[in-house]
Amino acid sequence: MTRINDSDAVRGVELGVFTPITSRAQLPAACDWSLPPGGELVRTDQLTTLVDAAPLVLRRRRIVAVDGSPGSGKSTAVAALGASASIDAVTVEVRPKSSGLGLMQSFFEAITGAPHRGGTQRQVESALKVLLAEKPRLVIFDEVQNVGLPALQALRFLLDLPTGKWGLVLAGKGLLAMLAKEQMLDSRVALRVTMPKLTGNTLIDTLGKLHPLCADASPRLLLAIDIACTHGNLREWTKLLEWVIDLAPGSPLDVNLAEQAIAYVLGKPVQLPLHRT
Amino acid sequence: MNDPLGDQFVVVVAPPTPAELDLALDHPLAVRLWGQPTSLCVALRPTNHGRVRVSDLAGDVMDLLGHTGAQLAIRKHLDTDLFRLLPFLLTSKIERMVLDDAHQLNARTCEELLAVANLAHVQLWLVSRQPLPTDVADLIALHGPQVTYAEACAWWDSRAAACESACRHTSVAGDTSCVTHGSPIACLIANTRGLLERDLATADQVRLRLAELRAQPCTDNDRWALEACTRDALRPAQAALAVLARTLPAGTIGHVAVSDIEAAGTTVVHGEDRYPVPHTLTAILFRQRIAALAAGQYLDDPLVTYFFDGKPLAILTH
Repeated sequence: MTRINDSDAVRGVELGVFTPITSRAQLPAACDWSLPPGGELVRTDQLTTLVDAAPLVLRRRRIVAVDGSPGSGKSTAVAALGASASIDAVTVEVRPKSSGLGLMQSFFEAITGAPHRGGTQRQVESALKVLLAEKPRLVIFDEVQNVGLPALQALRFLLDLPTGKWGLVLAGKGLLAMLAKEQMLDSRVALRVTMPKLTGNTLIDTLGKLHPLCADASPRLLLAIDIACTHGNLREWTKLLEWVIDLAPGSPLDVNLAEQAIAYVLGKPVQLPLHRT
Repeated sequence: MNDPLGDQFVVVVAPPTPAELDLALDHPLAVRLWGQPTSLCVALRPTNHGRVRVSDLAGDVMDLLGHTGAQLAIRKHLDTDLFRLLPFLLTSKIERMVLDDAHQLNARTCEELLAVANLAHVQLWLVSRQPLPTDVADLIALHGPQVTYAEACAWWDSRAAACESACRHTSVAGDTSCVTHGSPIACLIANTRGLLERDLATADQVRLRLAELRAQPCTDNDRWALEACTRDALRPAQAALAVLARTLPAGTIGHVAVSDIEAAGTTVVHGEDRYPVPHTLTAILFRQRIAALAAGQYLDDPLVTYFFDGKPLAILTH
């Protein structure tokens, strides 16, 4: 039977090596829907900051917080961080209006693949304490805006336990403002990444790297589509590009094709203010 | 030896300064208490919408004392009173209790905690990650000093290790060949705190394993050890009195009063006579005496219940 050796019990958190991923193929399968067919992972400044700096702060039991509006690439960014870790990366999709108990149960289920049969938050917390002490894990909570601060405090409690071998990443809309209301949580956040709404040259540059159709399209067309339909939202761009590919496979993105795709996305015809070819 | 901190009733540990953060991260105070049989460390769970989770605090302390109980919501009302800890603290070896994340305490819970600690002769260490609320700070300021995180660590380091148990197994199964304890029951009971504080097992797992062992044949010593490690004070005391009925005058055991349990449970008094209590039963009887007094019974009230006739109850037969 093994015996306890306290000498190596606690020395920060050993989370293994993080190797930044470089292509879409390295993302987890569950994240594939976030990119259009034929699209590629774009290493934005924010993603680079996240993947490079997060390992440093996670080892010190600090929280990484990723904020941004819907469709700004938060989920893809944290998935890229998870894929870059050499340890188990667990993603917990926070359900709307989750209570503390609900969050703990989702957490338990994400790690074990099975629901916890216990009836109280303390019971699930206790089971999680043992699981989190077992082996190093990177745990990503997405859509954190769906829970209240008391539920997040329960995560902070688990993170502070000296036996825990895990890193905590939170992602959600309005997350930083939410955390700022509670000093206990805010003071533990050591890396804040805000995914901005894409506009102007940044949008053109990002879209060009995202998909070859966008790389070959004129910047004016892309900006016109964005004003009419996608509003700097990468999820909307993914939907639009999916329509473009489905409507005319292999064709370049032009005004007519863009207007057809926009009509499907918005459910109404739109005329782009551009000269037709 | 002069020990200004050791003699205080309460010690408040200030939040770690930026310079102390590495200390708190690399080797936190809680870890320094591992393996110290007369001290325990419990982290206060986060408040639920501002309410201190008193039942969870009581349950966590009970678990660390080796009294692992059901954690189901149906039992919550039994644990919401910190005074329920009194019989268990007084019959344990605990001299110091460290409460981590103490800044989450409110004044009412803090008062109750101070009262329990005072009655149980337990020194209280309140470790805070943030400044304490003003009313709590004012309350505690009357009872003890505040030290820095580094000072607290140094004090606990000076007490560490001397009392490490020779047997510290990591499995909730209990070691069948444990030389130190002689049986898996004794081994598991002795190691419960170690398993819980290192998060090697949950209290539920320990409780279920003890229930499995209870169903198997075991020695008298083990049987009474199992009785003593439940959260129930009454039924083990009834079982203990049923055993004592063989030595006390016939028909008297049902009338043993609270005051008849003397000298920390080692003696039962009947009239002018004193009867020694086997060492396996002393803690059980003493615990019930304290539980009865804490519940507001008078000294001349029956120790267990007016309806106990001294006969072994079917539920207590093993």
